[in-house]
Amino acid sequence: MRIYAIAVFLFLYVPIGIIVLFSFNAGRHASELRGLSIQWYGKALSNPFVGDAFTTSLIIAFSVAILSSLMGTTAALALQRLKGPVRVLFDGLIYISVMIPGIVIGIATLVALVTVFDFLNPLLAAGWPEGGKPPKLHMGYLSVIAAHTLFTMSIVIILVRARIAGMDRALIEASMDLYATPWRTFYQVTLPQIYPAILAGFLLSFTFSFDDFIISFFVAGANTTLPIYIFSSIRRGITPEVNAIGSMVLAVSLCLLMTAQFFLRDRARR
Amino acid sequence: MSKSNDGNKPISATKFMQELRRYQKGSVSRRHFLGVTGLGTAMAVMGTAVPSLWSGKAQAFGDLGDRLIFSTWPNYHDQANLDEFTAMTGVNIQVNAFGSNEEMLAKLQAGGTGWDVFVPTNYTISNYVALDLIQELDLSRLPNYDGAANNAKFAGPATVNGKVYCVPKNWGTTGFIFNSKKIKSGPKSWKDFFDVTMGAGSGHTIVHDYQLTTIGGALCALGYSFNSIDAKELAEAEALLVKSKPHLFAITSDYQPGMRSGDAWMSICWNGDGTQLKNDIPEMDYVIATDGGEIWSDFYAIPKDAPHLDAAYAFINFMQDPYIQAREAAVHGYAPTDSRAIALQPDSLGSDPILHPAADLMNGLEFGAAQTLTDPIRAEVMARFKSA
Amino acid sequence: MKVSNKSNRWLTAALLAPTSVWFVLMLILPLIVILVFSFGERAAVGGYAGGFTLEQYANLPSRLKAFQNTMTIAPAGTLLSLLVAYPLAYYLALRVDRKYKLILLVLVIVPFWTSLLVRTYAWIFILGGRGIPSLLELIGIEGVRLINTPGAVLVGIVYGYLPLMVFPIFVSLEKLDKSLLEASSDLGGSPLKTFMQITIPLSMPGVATGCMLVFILLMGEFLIPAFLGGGKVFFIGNALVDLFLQSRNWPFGAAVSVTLVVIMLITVSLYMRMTLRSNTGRDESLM
Repeated sequence: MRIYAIAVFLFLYVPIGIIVLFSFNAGRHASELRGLSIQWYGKALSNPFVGDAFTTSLIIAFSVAILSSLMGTTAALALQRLKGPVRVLFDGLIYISVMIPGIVIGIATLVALVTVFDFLNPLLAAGWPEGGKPPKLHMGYLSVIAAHTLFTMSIVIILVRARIAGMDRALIEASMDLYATPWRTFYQVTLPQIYPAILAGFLLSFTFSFDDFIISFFVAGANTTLPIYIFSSIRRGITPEVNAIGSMVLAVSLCLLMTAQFFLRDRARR
Repeated sequence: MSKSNDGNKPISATKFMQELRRYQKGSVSRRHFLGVTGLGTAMAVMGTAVPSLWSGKAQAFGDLGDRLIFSTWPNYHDQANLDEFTAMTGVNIQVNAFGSNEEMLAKLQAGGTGWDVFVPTNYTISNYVALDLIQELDLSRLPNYDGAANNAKFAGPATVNGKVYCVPKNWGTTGFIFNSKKIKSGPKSWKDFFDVTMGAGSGHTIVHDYQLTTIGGALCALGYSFNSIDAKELAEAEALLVKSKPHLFAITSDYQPGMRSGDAWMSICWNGDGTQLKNDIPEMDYVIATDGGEIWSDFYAIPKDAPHLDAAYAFINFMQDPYIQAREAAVHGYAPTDSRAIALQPDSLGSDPILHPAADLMNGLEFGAAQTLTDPIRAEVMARFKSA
Repeated sequence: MKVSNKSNRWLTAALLAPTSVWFVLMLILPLIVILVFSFGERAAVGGYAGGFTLEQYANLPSRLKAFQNTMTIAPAGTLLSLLVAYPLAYYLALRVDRKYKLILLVLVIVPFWTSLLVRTYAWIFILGGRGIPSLLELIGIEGVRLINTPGAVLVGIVYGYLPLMVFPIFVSLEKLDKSLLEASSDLGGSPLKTFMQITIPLSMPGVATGCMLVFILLMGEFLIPAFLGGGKVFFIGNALVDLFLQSRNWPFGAAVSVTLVVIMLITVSLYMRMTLRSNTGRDESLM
């Protein structure tokens, strides 16, 4: 059993080890190791396109995570008060948005937005006051955020709803019986109980959005997210720069993970 | 332009170039000189001439911004030249590599690419013009470009309806390359190519993820025109491709990694990649097929909605510098169309059979035809072959 | 509830409003547009031209192989991930000392934090000519080809989605009451019997969730077959990217998308019905 576990961990970590090892490659080609150097880290860090892509990805992932946890939580709370056809309709929509492959979401959003923009842009131009430059609707941050949020919002709804289902009803009723306002009941009773689910949803949404390639690939317009940058680097004949970027993302997330772990343990101790 | 600056510039420019190329080998005085003059004119036209090149990189060229997005083909540039442009102008270049003209067209048609400069092939330009996707070039902003120095045979497609939409980059041929240590039979034609693929070389052949060359190769093997859009001929080509598919190693336009790692023994190949591979691995042999193939020229063009127009012109102008062209060619192995650049090439390259094949070898080659880019049957044949 | 019914209804509507807008704009509208497009025609230069034709759907058999590949490799990949993940999850949940549990669990997730692209790229190297095949040549086995085969794609899939499978199974095994297992062995149940009759049934919700997650992601997979299949192992995802980004046949791409969605809806609802029936209990654990 233990040997099996070790074997699986090896399977998981040998490729990671190779990525990190080759990020220190002195040579230009990613497949031949020619001495060690940290030049690619310098190159990656001083490459403004890497910086741009990283910032773009961060902005998008944060917006997606915040929007999804807010909307997902409110929707989950509302849905739990609903019964009948509306509830069934929403359940259906939630499952469909989780079930539809990302690639179809990407393509459908692209096709729909292009069609809508082609329709709206001439209208905007015609209706715009003389002299001013009419705005032109196009793909960008907003379309990526909107498309990612569809999926992640539904994930948050599912997570929070599962938590609500396992929640202690009596507490809420007690609070109501004591004439607490609904807001106060929510804030002091409900929220603390569903908080872990919201947090989990936030993190999942962030991770999903940050790592998503296929949806962004279709709807990001001229914006380059980190996965899109890495994809085009691989296609252009990869240099160890990509390994360096991958290693840095790994290192940063490890640090975050450890910090979170440290704080959680700290709190648990108190 | 003020006189004091005029007097000042060449000296500091020379200094700049000397510093910049200090690392290069000796015996380059002539090229060196040309490089300097080329850059000198470049700066003159940029409208600003600040002598202190070292301190203010960007100012020397006016405010070009700090970004340029450049879409081109795999293994098609000398990174040193791109780095040099960045060092001189402060403009960082993001290079996107594409495997087919169709992919570039699809991106441009969808809009909002953010590209500033891209590299279309001869036969696509009239399509881009018809679809209103590229800009007419202001040649006064490209002083390094010399129309008269370019071979009209290759530069011709840049002009559509009397307007110049691009400037030429390189020309070349599409044939195939094989590893003579692994494949002993010495294939000479596209027919041989597919026979070997389905025979001795099974499992080790790469074809492009590009309808023009892959379907074109199959058409030639069957004795048809590389450019055919005849439904019956295309159906036969599709059958041949589908039949050979189980014997392929991969369908990709970035075939150098597979050829270098030894996984692949034979691939459809552009001649410059042939030179690059042969330089590193002597047993690689590039073949212009006896039963046809493609002759092509590539161009620099600016998309309609290019966000960094000034940087785009500066970049194209830089790349048109004969010295830079020659240095590019030394790395990517494609022949320049510009006689000024050819003159700068070492004799070994000028007589290289892969770069400059004998005329009779090229008799059977065809330029890609504009209609192949948008032909629905060819597009669908390729797509079906890939998902077969 | 003591809040008046009317204000209650308003609150519910207000809470649901943003989500509803999202569903309409980002789900219903795109799906309708895709559906409409799937009955159109390819414009002369590529793209979409209006019209009403069933031509696109009639052309679907030309992508049969891509559908077949997806419909075989996606379930196979899901099953393989399950087979690899289950023992690991079991080990982590029931056999590991409490002290190390969290650390080991984190170690399973960490690879997930590097880009899937970069991780898959590592496998191009490992499976490529200079990786495992060259090691095999050292011990005398020559001519082995791994890259650009369905096997390579499967390895990439298991590697890419293993954490997604381990996690839900771990959670359901973790919840499993250890005293139950002890009781079983006290009553003379053999380890195998305990495992088959108690552990497996009780971990089914986790297994169901994990399989569902991985399967859904695999049905739309594009990257792994693109990198490790070398254009030879073609999924519907690859066919779709090809249709939109190379051959620019939007209506046909739309028809393929619609078909994929229908297939997903059918298989997933069948699957849910099956797992729900076998579990009878209310399993909203994740899905």
